[in-house]
Amino acid sequence: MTLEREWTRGAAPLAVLTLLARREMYGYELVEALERDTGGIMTLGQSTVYPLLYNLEGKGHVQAVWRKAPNGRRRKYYRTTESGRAWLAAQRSQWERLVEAMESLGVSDVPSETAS
Amino acid sequence: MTRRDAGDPHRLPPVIEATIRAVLDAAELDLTDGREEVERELRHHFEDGLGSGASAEELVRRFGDPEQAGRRIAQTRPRAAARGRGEIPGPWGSLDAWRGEMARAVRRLARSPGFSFVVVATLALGVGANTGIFTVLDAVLLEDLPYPEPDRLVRVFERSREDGTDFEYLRAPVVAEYRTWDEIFEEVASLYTYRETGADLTDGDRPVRVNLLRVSAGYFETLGIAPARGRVFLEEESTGPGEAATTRDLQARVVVVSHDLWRDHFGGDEDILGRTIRLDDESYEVVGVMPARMRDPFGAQAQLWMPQDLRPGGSNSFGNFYLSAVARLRSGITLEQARERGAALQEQWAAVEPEVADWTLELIPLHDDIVGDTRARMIWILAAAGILVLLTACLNVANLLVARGLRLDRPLALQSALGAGRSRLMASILAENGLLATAGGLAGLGVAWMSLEGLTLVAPAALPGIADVSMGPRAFVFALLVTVAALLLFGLAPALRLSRTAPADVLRAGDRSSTARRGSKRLRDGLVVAQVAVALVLVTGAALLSRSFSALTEVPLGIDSDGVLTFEVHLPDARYPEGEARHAFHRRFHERLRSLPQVESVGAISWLPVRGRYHTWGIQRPSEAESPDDPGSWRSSDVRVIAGDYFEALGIELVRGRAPREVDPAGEDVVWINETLAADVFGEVEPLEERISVNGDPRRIVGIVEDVPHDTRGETSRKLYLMHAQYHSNRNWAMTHVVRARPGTADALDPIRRVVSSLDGQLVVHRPRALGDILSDERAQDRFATSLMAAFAFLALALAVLGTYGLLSGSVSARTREIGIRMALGADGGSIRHMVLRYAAVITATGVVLGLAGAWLASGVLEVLLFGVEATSPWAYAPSVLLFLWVGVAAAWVPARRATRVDTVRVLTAD
Repeated sequence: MTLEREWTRGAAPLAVLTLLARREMYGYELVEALERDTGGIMTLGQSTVYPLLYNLEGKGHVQAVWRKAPNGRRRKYYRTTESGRAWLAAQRSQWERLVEAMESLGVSDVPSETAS
Repeated sequence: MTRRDAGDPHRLPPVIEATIRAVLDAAELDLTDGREEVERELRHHFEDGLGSGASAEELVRRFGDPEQAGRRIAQTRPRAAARGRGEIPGPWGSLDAWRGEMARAVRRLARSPGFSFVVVATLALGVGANTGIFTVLDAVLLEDLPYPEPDRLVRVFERSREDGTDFEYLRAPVVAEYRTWDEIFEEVASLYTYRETGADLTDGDRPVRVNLLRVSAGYFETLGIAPARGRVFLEEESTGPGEAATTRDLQARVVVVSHDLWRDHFGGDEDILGRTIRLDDESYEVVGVMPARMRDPFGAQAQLWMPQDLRPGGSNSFGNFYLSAVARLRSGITLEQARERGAALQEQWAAVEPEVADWTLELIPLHDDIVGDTRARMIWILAAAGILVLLTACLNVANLLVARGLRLDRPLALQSALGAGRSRLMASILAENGLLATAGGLAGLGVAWMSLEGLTLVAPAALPGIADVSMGPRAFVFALLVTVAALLLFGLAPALRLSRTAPADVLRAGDRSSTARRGSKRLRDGLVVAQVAVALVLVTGAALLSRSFSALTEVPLGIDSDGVLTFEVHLPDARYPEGEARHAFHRRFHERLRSLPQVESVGAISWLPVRGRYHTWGIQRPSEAESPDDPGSWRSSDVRVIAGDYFEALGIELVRGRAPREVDPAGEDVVWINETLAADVFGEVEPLEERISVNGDPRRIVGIVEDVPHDTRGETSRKLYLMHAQYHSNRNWAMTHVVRARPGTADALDPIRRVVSSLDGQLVVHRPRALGDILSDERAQDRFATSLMAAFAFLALALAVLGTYGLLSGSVSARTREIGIRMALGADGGSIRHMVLRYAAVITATGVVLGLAGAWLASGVLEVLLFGVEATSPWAYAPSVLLFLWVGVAAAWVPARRATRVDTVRVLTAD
């Protein structure tokens, strides 16, 4: 299953930056990693990924460099910048507060009918 | 634009190529925006996908909507994003960014070729008409005369203290005196009359008629033109020792020739200086050749210059007004100072010379004199009309742009919602308009060039020198300015409107009516109203001018020009030195002509009617004057010398008295006067058999003839006719023969030529022309103004019709749904049609009312060009008003009919 579009769109920058904070990646690699590492839930259409990357680049959160990939081809690699890491830290704490808040509301509680 | 091989020469499967192209097109990126880089990255992306074993179709599916990706990329590319936040100063500062905007604008416009073509063509017409008329205006009015320090050149006149009118001609002693006034003039020169005369150049087998201007010493120095070879006239060649006899009796037989005559007739003879040539069978020495580009302000066709005798005596008396004068003011003296100082000098001189007591010195800038008041007004008015055409064109274009803007609203609003920012939107609109304006401007230069070529064909008589007019750098600068003005005029309103539109409004409203739409509808209504108003001003102006012109052609000229042929035959002084011999020739010639079957009557005159004033001499009524020297008893009158049955040949009615053929030339000296002279000089007294003095000789009045105007506007002046038989000794009169052909006979010119050769093989029939053609040339300026104005009005009218039609058909399409609902509710076709027509009528009527106000204001300016038409009479406006109301309804007719054919079911079930 995949998430509704609005969810994906809201969460995508955080997810992408989190992946890029681990190591630099090129576009296709990033799309694959997102799909693989989220168990297919964060399947971003590439129609979203590239604009998102350009946007983050424009804001200075990621940096792009052209370099040779292990297979010998030239790829455009993206990696987080200092400002990207700071932004990620801020977003992450917000995310955590959101999850806490949602949990305290009982959003993640298993519905009672099926619990017993 | 698309570089498929950017970064990688390998082609990908077509479905992928198409996807990439769709992304890039939707993103509207260009090189500066990193189009290549994005393309390369996308290619790598798909290659990676293919490399990992996915199918092309699978990859494209997973990629998602390419258009959406493109649009987002457009908004999220680093520079665009940064610009949106205001970090980079938008496209305003960077040339590269502008280049990007331009490239995108080119692509957008290329997608609507019809729209682009109409806009560019409309602008081209507006800019072209303006640049063309500006070029003429510049050359004729604004450009300096082609002489050094042209501001110092003035025409010199004597002004009558009695009635304040400028006298066109001066007396030789007056010119001689002015030449000594060194404190105001650097140089003063005179010309024999204001026009060229002719002479037969008899170097070859047959004589060649050349145009000749007699000028005094100092003439070329006054203008500041040096000869290309040899010299110009020496002071003693005009003012040397001795006395002058007649105006044609030269003391120095020298000539200066034009460059063209030297090149064409003398074959560019290197040894031309000192060469003797035969003119009217007399020998002259060539002393100079003028430069190739010389333009003589008084004789554009002059091929030869001869010194004019300024010595006292003979014709050079205080009684003979026959010279024109031009002067160069002293360096450092202004026109005003020269006038003041000249007035003081004239006073001093008048104290010792009673002959000048009644006259004052009048100085007019040469440029003003050459252009002439009416012609200057005409050109300014046409220029104003040109600007109005441009205005209509701009209004039309603005209207088209607003209409297009309505279609682009959604995509643009989307861009705006996605964060494109107003400045970015403005930039793309301006880039588009800039391109349209540039294309329109360039095409306009082409139109201007063509219209100049056209003007050269139709207007040679109305605008002397038009053939030399060409588009120079000033025309290009002007076209540029006009284009920029047009860009601001037509581009600004739509741009502001679009950038002010709240994107949410547009997106929410969809195709239905919304605030934004109502705003642009009002704007479009306003544009059409303005268009109708401006076009009405032009059409009214054109209607006034054309009515004025037709009034002009109906002016009774007192002559019947149908079937009248005119020509000149010049009798060289050398072979016809005696007046008697010349008269004998004319008599024999007319007798022979009269015997031709084609000829009904024949005569000759020294100056044709309707060709302006000429030979304005002093006349005196002896019974009134206490003595012939009493200066108060002199009056001026145009003097004409006639031969044969001149009055009969031209159909000029003899009111009373005897016809020339009933008078014995050997008897008493006689004269005919026109009705104006009879009324002015004799009043209630019967002038027949009274005596009148011409140049001091009393003559008996034997006939009174009807007035013949001296111009096409019917202006008439005192006129007095002398018989050549009695006046041939005064000078070798350059007679123009007039031959009235019998109706229905063949061309008489060939038989006339044979008669001339049989009488004297050396003579030529010079300048044969139908009198009707000559009159038509005299009306050329009026015809020119009228036809140009009509062309402008037609353009404006056509644009207004297009505008109204476009507006209404747009409005009908926009209201399709409303109309469908009305019809579903039972409205019939008639009432729908009525609704559309009423809308058209309201728009047109509003424009007409505004236009009437404008036309009324414009009529004050136009009045100087009008003849026989009241500029503010309701009759001048009524036809234009009716025309526009009709045009408004006609433009609405097709849209109105379409409205009634709206398919109710389809409309109501559509989204």
